[in-house]
Amino acid sequence: MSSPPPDDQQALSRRGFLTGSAAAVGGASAFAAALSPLRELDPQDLPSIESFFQKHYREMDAQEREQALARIREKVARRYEVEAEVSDPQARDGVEFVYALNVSRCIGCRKCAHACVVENNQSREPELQYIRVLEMPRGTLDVEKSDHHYERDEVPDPGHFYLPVQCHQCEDPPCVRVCPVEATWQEPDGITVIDYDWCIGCRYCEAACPYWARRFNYSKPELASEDVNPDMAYLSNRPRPVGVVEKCTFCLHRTREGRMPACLEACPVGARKFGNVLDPESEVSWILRTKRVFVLKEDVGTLPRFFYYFDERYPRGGAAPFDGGPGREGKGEEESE
Amino acid sequence: MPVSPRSKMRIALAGLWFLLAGWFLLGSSTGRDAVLGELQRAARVDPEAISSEPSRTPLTDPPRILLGGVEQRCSDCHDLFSSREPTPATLRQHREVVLDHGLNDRCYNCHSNPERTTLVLRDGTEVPFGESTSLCAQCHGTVFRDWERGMHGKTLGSWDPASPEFVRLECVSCHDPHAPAFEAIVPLPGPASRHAQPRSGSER
Ligand code: HEC
Ligand code: HEC
Ligand code: HEC
Ligand code: HEC
Repeated sequence: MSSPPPDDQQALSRRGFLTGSAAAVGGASAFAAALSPLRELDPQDLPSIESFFQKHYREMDAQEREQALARIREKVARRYEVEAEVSDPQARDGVEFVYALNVSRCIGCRKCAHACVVENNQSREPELQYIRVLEMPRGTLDVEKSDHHYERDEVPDPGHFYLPVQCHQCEDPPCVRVCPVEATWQEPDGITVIDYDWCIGCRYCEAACPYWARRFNYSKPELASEDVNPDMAYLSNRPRPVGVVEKCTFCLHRTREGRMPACLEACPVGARKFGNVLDPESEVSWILRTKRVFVLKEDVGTLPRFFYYFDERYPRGGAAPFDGGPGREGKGEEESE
Repeated sequence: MPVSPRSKMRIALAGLWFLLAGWFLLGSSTGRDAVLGELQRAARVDPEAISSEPSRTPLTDPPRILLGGVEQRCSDCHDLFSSREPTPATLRQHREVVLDHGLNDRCYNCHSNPERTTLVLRDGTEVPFGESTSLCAQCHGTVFRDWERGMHGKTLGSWDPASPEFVRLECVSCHDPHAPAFEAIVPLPGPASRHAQPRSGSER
């Protein structure tokens, strides 16, 4: 090289310039990438000033609640062109809801899960369901051995029984305790609810739930206008935004008015029972008093309000030979694949 | 003979040893009893209570009964007269009605013979078709009892028994009285969500 070596000062500043500009470009594109989801933002989804300053459900006074309901009504009308009936039914005095499910009758038809989706305005795309029907090999109550993706020409399958699982509305709900912003709480009638406008989507509750009962909206829930159920309540089935958690509320918009939950009405075999456990004549009280009742994962100690029970029964022609249950060497193991 | 302190010690030790041995032999058993008495001793039950004898004695063949203190065979009287022979007729009409109701295999178990517009109970009481549940109740007492409390079957309208909307489905809303077993059905599709993929074989 004939030219004199550049002095240190010059070399450094050139290198410095190069790295500096690379960092600037990189930083700018990272920033742009980070903001890119905003491009998909629908101006419709932008919160209005009022909804931005909306209080926590439990801190609103009557007037503010009315306004919040009106905003939901408007939003539903704007987005789905549906006249919605948005209510805010309150827990009744002397009512504590309990669910009971007859394991001897359930045939695993999944009608409950689908009726629930329709009733509660769940996202259809991506699919979101509150109820999971577990197909259990005989010989175990271990949900780890269950399968909820079973595909069969006919149910019930004689080698299995069925265990539908949904929110158990626990008396000591871990999901409520872990919520950092108190967006979820237990109502006086035992139903654990979520203020979807207060949820920050951290999913702690989802992780805390031993029954896998909470669902997160990973992307914008899609619901066609013709699928909207206009009978809505603030704390239950009003349309949810992306990024919040939702769950079964025992259909509180129906049950607080005295009606039955949608999953119960859809059950063809009458396996689902619902009622007020504080009323000694209610169906669930009779079941708790007289049937062999159990709760799922009793050992986690969350005191579910969702009970399972058995009837004595021996189905004609339906009994399959018992293969010893899962975890034991037997042909049942390979079969259940 | 002077006894050395050493021997005194030995004698004392030996004595102590014998005492201990004696206590172990005689005393300890009473001590053990006392301890056991305080702890749980198996409860004593009346041998009758765990007897393997059946609780009632069935008839043996040929069957006999005590009538007025005299043991008599059934045939003693029943050979003297004959009872009505109930034979099921072959149907020419209603052939689509195929009874698959186990032992309950006679039309007239449920349908009134003289009055075809009603059903009939075992005691001959005629009940309208709208009250068929009372018919089923005669033979399915335990299920009926559950049904009355809402533990079998299904309630629609309201969960509140005091509500006017509270309706309990009748048996025949779910069961075909002629073939009451529940048909297997095709399940609705399972979950498709990406966060709930089927587990692979190795994962379980
Ligand atoms: C003392 C005589 C006598 C003896 C012994 C007797 N029966 Fe009868 N049984 C009758 C008479 C008479 C009738 C019909 C009259 C009536 O309906 O009361 C009858 C009716 C019946 C009926 C009703 C069916 C029908 O034809 O109406 C049955 C079932 C029956 N007996 C079974 C038995 C059996 C089983 C035994 C033995 C354990 C037995 N009987 C012993 C006299 C007797
Ligand atoms: C005369 C007595 C009688 C009456 C009345 C009667 N049943 Fe039955 N039912 C039976 C008997 C016996 C069986 C047992 C069948 C078997 O397992 O072989 C049975 C079985 C059944 C079963 C179980 C079927 C299965 O295969 O799992 C159902 C369900 C049932 N009955 C419903 C009804 C209903 C509903 C009515 C009223 C419309 C009714 N029964 C009326 C005698 C009766
Ligand atoms: C377990 C009691 C029971 C028996 C046994 C029974 N039925 Fe019925 N049957 C009923 C009842 C209850 C209804 C009304 C059904 C309804 O409400 O849907 C009925 C309805 C009918 C009907 C009209 C509706 C239909 O299903 O076609 C006919 C016809 C009939 N029965 C014929 C018969 C014949 C024939 C037999 C004997 C082979 C018979 N039934 C045996 C209880 C019975
Ligand atoms: C919601 C529908 C529904 C109603 C209403 C209903 N059952 Fe059932 N019942 C079922 C189902 C489902 C089964 C399971 C039978 C099967 O798998 O074949 C069953 C089973 C039975 C059995 C068989 C025994 C057992 O425990 O499995 C009897 C007997 C019976 N029902 C009688 C009745 C009678 C009597 C009534 C009315 C008092 C009635 N059912 C009302 C749905 C119903």
